[in-house]
Amino acid sequence: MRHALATALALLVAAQPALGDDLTVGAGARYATISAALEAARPGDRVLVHAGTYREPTLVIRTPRLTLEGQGWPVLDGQGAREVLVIAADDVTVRGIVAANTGISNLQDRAGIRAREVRNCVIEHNRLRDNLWGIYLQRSADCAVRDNDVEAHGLRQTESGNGIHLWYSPGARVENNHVRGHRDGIYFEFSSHGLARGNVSERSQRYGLHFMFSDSCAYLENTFRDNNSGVAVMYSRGVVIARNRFQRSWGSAAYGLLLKDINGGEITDNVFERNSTGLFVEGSSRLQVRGNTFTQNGWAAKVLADADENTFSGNRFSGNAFDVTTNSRSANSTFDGNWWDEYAGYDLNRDGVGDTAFHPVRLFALVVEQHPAALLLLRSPLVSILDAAERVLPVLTPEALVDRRPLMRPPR
Amino acid sequence: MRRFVPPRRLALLALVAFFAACRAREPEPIVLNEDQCGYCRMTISDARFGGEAVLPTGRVLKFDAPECMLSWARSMPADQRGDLYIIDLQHPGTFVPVTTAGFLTGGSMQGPMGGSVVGFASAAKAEEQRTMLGGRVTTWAELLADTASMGHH
Repeated sequence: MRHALATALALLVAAQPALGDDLTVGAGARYATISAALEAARPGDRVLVHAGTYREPTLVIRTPRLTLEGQGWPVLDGQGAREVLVIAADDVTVRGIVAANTGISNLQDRAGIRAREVRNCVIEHNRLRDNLWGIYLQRSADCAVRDNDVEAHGLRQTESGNGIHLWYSPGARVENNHVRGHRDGIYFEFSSHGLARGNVSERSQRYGLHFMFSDSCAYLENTFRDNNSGVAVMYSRGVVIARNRFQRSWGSAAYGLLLKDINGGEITDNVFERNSTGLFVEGSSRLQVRGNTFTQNGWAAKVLADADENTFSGNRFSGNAFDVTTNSRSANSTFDGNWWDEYAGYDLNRDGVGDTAFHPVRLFALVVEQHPAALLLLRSPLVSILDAAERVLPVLTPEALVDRRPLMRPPR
Repeated sequence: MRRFVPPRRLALLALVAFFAACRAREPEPIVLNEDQCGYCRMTISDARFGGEAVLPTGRVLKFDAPECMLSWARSMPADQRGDLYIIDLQHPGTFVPVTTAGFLTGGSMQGPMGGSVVGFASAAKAEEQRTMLGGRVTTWAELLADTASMGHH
């Protein structure tokens, strides 16, 4: 009985990481260097780093359940020559540090903070400055990356890595980070069952968010703006993309959201605003596109003919140069019960649904798809006449792309 | 007034220049973060990878990774692929004809499509880098025949 009690007590102690020692680092503190403190630390300890600039060889945390915490934003400086901090043990927390200045390399992917083949790491409230790669999770499961501020500038375009990069790291939670100026702001590659929520990713050299080969992930309530090419979600199954803002991606290869080879997904309640193309769908099937707002885009939605069984309902389309376009008459996505500001029909029975169908694909949009230079004629009266004629009597535009129940008022 | 070049010779010269221009089937530089991959549509952002197909029509298709160029080439009849070039990993932005290039596959380099195929100026250069990057030295023809080399899923 006494033995059992002792065991229970021991377990309780083991389960309580706060009972470790605090090891202080800084001028006049117990340790002069972070390396020395990490060397001395035991599982469950906290290494508290005071303000100052630390120029040490790449720091590697090899002690499980360790917390590395900065007080007053200590700067860990890679001096343009090396990776700054590596987490190489399970259950490690890093917070409150500034990891800076890894410098560039053609053959090494240097990161400000890297988690290397670990579980349950927490990387929170840090600042990453001018690193080739910001935070890099490499084959690390169930980690949390939150409330970090990640910025790169001054690096040449050819030599920038990603802000928050996940590679074979399932179950990650990436929340409330702010990322600016990297190649891709946030990148999930081969990382399933992840969550990206509440992040702001802007001014990326390429994509604000980029997902490749990452099944069953959710991207919620993020803001992506002024990213050179927008956001790309590719080669994945079962994605949920809800309540995000995709804003101001302009350029011939820029999309608010590019979906390529996505099998099954929900795209709901997002805002697509002021992009060259709001939503681009290629080779994707069984997508539910619901309750989104498409406003002031060049093309609100481009849905290529190889996209299959996709449903658009309850969306709002307003102020776009083109609402919907495609590349073939045989396109077969379904549009049902959306609101279109271009709709000029009537509602005699006052049920809120227009009595005549709406054809969202303008004839001219198809012409432009084949001959981009024709865009010059966008405001020509002849084009308006052609479009009007085509809407009344569709000859060339895809028959299937028609909304038979257009809403008279924007939903909600 | 003295004429510097007889008009007939000038016309001939112009004609020759015109045909020379038509025949110039050279790869174009890739504009990073602007150009799109002709296969996967990703914006090309890494100068160390990728390639180009200069089609018989003179049109140029750009690719972000060797894997994408391979997938595209496999989907095209051989006589419509045009001239294919790969980027030399050691000289980002430099094109090498795939017929003379050397390749490493299965090494530690991670390309934009998650794969590990990288191009070099020659098989000898690929062999040199194999000690550091690992993997296996191979040729374009072998890669084309091996349909398992596209990323993974």
